Amino acid sequence: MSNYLIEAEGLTKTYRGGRVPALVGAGVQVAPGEILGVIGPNGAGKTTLMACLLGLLRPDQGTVRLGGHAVDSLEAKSFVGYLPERLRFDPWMRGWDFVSYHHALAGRPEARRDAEVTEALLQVGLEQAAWRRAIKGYSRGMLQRVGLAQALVGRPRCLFLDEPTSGLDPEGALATRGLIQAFAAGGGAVVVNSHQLEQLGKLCHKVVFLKQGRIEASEQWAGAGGLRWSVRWLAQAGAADKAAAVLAKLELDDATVRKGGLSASVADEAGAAELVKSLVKAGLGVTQAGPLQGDLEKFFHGGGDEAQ
Amino acid sequence: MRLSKPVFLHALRSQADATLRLVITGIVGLILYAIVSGGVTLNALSLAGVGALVKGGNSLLVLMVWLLGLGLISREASSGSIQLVLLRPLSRPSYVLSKWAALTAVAWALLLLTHAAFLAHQGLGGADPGTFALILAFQGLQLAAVAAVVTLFSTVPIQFGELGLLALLLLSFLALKLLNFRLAWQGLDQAVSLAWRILLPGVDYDGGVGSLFSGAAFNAGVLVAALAGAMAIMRRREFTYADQG
Repeated sequence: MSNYLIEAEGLTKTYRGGRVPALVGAGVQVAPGEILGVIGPNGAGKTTLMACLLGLLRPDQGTVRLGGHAVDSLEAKSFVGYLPERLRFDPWMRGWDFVSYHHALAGRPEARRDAEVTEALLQVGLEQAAWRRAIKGYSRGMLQRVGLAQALVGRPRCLFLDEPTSGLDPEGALATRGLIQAFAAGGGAVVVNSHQLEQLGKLCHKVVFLKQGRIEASEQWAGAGGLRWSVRWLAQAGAADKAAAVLAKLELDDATVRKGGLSASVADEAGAAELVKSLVKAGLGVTQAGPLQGDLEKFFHGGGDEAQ
Repeated sequence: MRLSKPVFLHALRSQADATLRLVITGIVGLILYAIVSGGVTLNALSLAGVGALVKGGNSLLVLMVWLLGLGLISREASSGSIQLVLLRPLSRPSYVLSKWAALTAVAWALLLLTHAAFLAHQGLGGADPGTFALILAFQGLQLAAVAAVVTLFSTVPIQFGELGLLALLLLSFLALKLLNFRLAWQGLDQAVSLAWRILLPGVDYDGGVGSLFSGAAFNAGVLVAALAGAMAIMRRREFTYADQG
């Protein structure tokens, strides 16, 4: 049995009879409690990756499993909550109807419908006066909230979010971030696709950088309950081996070592200081060290490498 | 595969809305026609409407089912709202079946209303209630078959929106005309007449009732084939938000 709730391997997808590659051997794994961010320039394949993970598109090669079940099985679908970037609905629907409809579709008990729909709408902070109003009159922020309520109302274990804080005011964005983090803390797995790097940097535990359909870089962004620290050093022979020895000695087993640097999860700032001190002591010419979290823009612009 | 209650009720609500809009548009059209042509009283107009329903009968209802069902699934697919539904623990054949059932339910409601209007207007007029019920059942089956064909067309991805779908429907209609139904009907009539003689050896074959049964067999075949086709297409279709603006 896999430790991951969301597991995709070797996803390859082409369009127009194989002429346009959209994904090339992409793979992601998200464990319970983890939030994975997907970043990349427009046309990198983020939407295709999300659609493959959700089972809306069939990859030419590769597999997707949710909670150990094939993505197109009904068992896997009962795990899923999805917030699209743009919410679509029937014009006659009211916010309450929309969330109730999805509660019913998710197969939740009818007897608990009112209570669970109310709970979801309160969770996302949609003002009560709007619950019984037609969705077509909602603002962008209200649409985002009702969409999130729709995603959460089926009690999913895997949450897929496309630009979850888009259109929200700062207070709303903060509350949504808290909601997503609480969902993950409760044992859920989350995949977030967003261009809002600042928000993503504060939210995610892991980030993958997608470019031309390939995962160019994958980075553990924040340790569970700790800090993710980045260290860079001068290019020198045997640096990677020296760094590996230090990491082994300090028992930092989730570190990523790259050319000219590393990133690793440490318990606190004292742990970070210990790491840097040990690297210097091992003979590495450390030039830069600091927390990785919040530096996603650098990661993005460097195609996944510069942040290290 | 079974009917999904939420999808059925949701589709029924959408169809009811669309029917109401269609009926209101029709009434407004009739009133405008009366105003433009001048001198037509509202009473005469309502009588003309009932008369048209009675004379046009099933053809008018078939047309309404086409109009109502044109975007049954394709509209949801092109707007992007279908994705959220298909991500729920619901099989795609169940989704298709529920959509078809909702369209059929609306068609049957319209059929009953038409017959009620007919009865209120003219009564049975000496007709046998049994034959009346048989014709009603036949028309119900025919509308269910038409709804299945519309559902099938609605599952096909159309690049040019509903105009493209309409063009496809017209082409299919012409193709069917070219194939000439008569040959198929003759075969069916002969089969029904044979079955009649085997099952009811002491009763003379009634050509009128026999042709109703051949029609029913034909419609049942169309219904099953169209629904199976719609489900097969939906099983294979891919959806992505990248298609939407």
